[in-house]
Amino acid sequence: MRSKGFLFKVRKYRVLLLMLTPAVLYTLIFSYLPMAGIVLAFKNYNYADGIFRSPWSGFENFRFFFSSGQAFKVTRNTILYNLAFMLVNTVLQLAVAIFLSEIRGRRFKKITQSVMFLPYFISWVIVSVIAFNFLSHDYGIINSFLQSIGQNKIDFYGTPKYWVGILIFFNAWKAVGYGSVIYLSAIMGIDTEMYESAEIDGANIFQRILYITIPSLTPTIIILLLLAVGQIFRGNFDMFYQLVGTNGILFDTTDVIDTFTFRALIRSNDVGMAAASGLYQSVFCFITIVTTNYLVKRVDKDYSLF
Amino acid sequence: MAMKKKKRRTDILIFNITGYIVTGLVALLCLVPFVMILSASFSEEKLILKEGFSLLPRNFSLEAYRTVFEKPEIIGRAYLVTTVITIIGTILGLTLTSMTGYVLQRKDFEWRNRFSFFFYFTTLFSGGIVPYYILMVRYLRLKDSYLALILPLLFNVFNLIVMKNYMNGIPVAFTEAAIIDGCGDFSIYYRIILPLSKPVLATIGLFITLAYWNDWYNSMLYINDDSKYTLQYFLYMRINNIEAYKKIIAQSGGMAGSFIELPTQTLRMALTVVVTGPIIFAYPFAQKYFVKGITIGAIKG
Amino acid sequence: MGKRIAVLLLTLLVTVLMISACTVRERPADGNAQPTQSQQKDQDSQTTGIDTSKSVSLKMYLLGDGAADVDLVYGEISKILKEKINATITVDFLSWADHDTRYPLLFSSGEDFDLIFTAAGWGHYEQTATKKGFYELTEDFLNTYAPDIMKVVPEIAWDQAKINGKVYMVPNYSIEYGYDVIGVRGDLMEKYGIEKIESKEDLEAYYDAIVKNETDITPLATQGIGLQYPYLFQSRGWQVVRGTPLPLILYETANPDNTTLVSVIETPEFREYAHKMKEMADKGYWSRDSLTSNDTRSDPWVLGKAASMVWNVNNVSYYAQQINKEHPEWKATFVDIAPNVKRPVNPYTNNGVAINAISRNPERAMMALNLFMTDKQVYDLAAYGIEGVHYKAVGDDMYTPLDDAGRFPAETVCNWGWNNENLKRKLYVENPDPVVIKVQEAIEKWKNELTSNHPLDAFSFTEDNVKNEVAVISTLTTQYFDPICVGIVEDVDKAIDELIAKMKEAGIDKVLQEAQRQVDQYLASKR
Repeated sequence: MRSKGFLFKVRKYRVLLLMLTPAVLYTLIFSYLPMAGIVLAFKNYNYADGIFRSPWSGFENFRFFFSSGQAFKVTRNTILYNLAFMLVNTVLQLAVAIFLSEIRGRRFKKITQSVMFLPYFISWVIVSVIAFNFLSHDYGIINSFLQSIGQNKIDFYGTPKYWVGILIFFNAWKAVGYGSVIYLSAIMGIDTEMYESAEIDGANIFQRILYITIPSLTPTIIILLLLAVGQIFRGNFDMFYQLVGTNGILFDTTDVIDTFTFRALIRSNDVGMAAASGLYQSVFCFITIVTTNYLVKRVDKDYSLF
Repeated sequence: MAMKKKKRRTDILIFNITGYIVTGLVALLCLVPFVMILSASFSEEKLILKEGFSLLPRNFSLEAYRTVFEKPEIIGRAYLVTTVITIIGTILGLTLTSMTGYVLQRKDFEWRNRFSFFFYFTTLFSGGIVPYYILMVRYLRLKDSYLALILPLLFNVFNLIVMKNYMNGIPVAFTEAAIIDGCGDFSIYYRIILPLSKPVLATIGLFITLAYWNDWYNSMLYINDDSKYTLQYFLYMRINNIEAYKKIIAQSGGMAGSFIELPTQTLRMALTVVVTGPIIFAYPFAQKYFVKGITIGAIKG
Repeated sequence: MGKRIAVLLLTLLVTVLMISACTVRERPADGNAQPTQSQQKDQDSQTTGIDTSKSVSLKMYLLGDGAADVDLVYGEISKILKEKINATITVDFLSWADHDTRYPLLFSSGEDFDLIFTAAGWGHYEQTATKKGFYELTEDFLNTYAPDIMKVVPEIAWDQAKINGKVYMVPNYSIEYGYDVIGVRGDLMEKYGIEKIESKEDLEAYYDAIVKNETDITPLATQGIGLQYPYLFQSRGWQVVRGTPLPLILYETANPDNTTLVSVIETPEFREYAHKMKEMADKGYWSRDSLTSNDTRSDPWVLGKAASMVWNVNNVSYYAQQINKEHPEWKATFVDIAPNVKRPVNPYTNNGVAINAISRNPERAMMALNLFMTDKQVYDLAAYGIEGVHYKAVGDDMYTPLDDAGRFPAETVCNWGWNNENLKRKLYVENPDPVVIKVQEAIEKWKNELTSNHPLDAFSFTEDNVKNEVAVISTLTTQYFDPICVGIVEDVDKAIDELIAKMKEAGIDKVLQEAQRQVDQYLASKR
């Protein structure tokens, strides 16, 4: 009975299933097959035995991370930065998208939109060079300016507390063009009839945004936030590493899981230990997102990721 | 009536002023560093090292660009490879993403959440580079194949979810009407959903284009044959080789060689300009599709 | 219903995973098995003399970007190899930019090649050897297939190459010193009446004069950490134990009888040094942004922003020559602040060549390497290119580059793995910079009078047993040790106490004990 029902459904959905097949196969081959490499986290890997026959090592590969006395600090930093990024990026990108969709000057709109994409092309290495030009103690643009107006210089590269702000700033700066496009396209998908009837009802522009645009964007906002939550235990390595580099003075507020692991393994290049640290992040990401998704689903089914 | 009109004008005025200021300011912040990069790329290496960046070139020099275009035939070839790969990859990727996204948002498709999870799960767990590399090189034998440049970036779950989410917002009425008219599942996708999804297709298309355009990593891993280098990898190699070489000399205590005299700072900047230049034109192309226009009434009527 | 589908999907997934697991499992196995079998066959037939009747083609991986004429030059080399050992060779390059990623992947994926450049410390030697990527070079094997190499490479070099008692590389034979000297500006010394700099005090007098009088010149090129070696280690006759994590574990190179290792951070000398660095940093000897700056070690000195730089004598002299070409009035030269302390020769394992563990022809690869290192004709080709095209020989031991030298620059196409002091040519220059002569004199003196001879100069630490501790110590060094060394911590004593506490927590004592254990074992095996 049941299996007949199943086959019946397969028949019913045959076109849809066929349409899914390429993506499913792709994902099986390119994502699920290599996932077998996760076992490396529990192995003492060597080339002669390969991934599967290398000797097991239990939880030995995890030890460097948890015995360092840094595990809590770097995990905390990673999560807090990601939360801050989520908040700042969402507000900024949303604001920019709404402004761009509403303001009149077409040429201004087009130019600013393109310009906002420029940071996306500037690699973090170069961002760090530019940042140094602004922030350096001896020759930096900011400190030269402060000096010229008779203020004291700020020792950016010696003071950890400034870096929370600096990192949030650069992250937002780099993502603003990319992120706002998603919201912009979502705004374009809003039924124009709603705006027209609101206009007839005499709603002003702020009311229109508050009662039509934002609610229509809510699914998008939630989905993007959920996607970010799913990566909450991962730090953007390139950004942290390039901007902060090996300046140990700043690590209390800037060290994240990924930079810590990188420094720990830079000598040994140990595949197993790298896999262990990656697995730690994956497992906690998994727990976080499944919980969050469950909660979201209870509030509104349509907003959930899966 | 007059009162009302005036009131509306003030709110639009206030909104526009804030809008211009905010977006203008953000745009300015994005522009300034790029201008600095541009002028640095036209500066003399020594002065940049000595005095840092500025908004205007220091002692105008084409040295960096001369180094970039030292081998014009190779860089020309790299441009060609990158362009072709980007175009093919974008078309295939966009088809795959939109088709999958469409199925996953069909509310009458009972298994949609399971499949969504099946895809999403891959963003959480990964086996790392070693097994992936073995798969690509040993089993699929893709070393030095253009497919090695296309396949890894073809399908991205982040894009898929954004796509699905947008299509989710298209009122079900469209689909229902089409079913009544006797449309099959595929023609609903092709005839109804795709045309209504132009803004998100433009967005995701742009994202995929950028991903292909900016990719050097897959070239590095899988391509040995220098006639198949992508632009980004070619440029990435130019700069990193010089820097890595300097670093290795420092570590090994060896003898410094002729590499030292090549510009690195200005070269880096010139490379950014060379890469960003052409692709920035793809943006207005995508922009064309950011037009408000969806109305349910239109179809219903 | 829903559950059933879930179960179905799950089974599907598991099946796929298992199939993949099985296939992935099998391949590396037969990838390994085949060559071993053929090796055995070869060895059987080789019990009497060396059989080279079967022609083989070898593949070698080198580091760097190659050069335009690599194929041409290696074509010539192949002709010689064909004649002498019935083999041809092709080379491929792992570029500087990505060898860190690609080198290990070559081994993970079981790529088919025979020889590869390697180097202890910076060229993947220890990591690959402990992961069983290299073919073990037993004494028998070496004596059979590379008798000439055995005559060239000194005993101490083989000891340095040992990983857990086994040799996996042929170390190069070149005598170089990693000893750091200080590049200074002669004009500034004259200006402030400093005649010579031969001690820390002299150097500080020079620095003080510059801080006081020059507004646009800082005393030391950005990286204050550069003083670590001259100040903390070299001047006290200390040497970092090779293979230990970062500059933390030392032995006394000046005193051959002392084989007790020391953890530097707990010594009073370190405290004294830390205070000194703080004092220097506060005086403005180097930039406050030391730890972040993108400047190279040399740029500020070459550009005239700094009055000195610290590096090994070859590099300092290289940059000094560059300065003297552009600003002869600066009179760049170098000084040594501990001119009478003994110094070790660079480890021979700084460059070398290894054989791939799954090479199908390890014997022939070894024989080829034997020629690369000891056959004058092959050596010259690989190092300097084709005579009359890329270089012109000046006598037996010198050369001048020709017009096409750019297509195969001398000694840059990764021939370092088989450097051989006996066959090396020097660049012939008619009127050398005075710095060059000074360097030659200095090195001559070091070779004759100042080379240390400590039993531990040949010892290398293997971190296998304490790799977790080493990993943690690596990251803590950046965080707690480096800032002290550039003198930017607020309170030196407090910072040192914190460093010691953190390092102890991370297990530095365990690493020290393990290193000492290995040292004792090594010394016992030598007796």
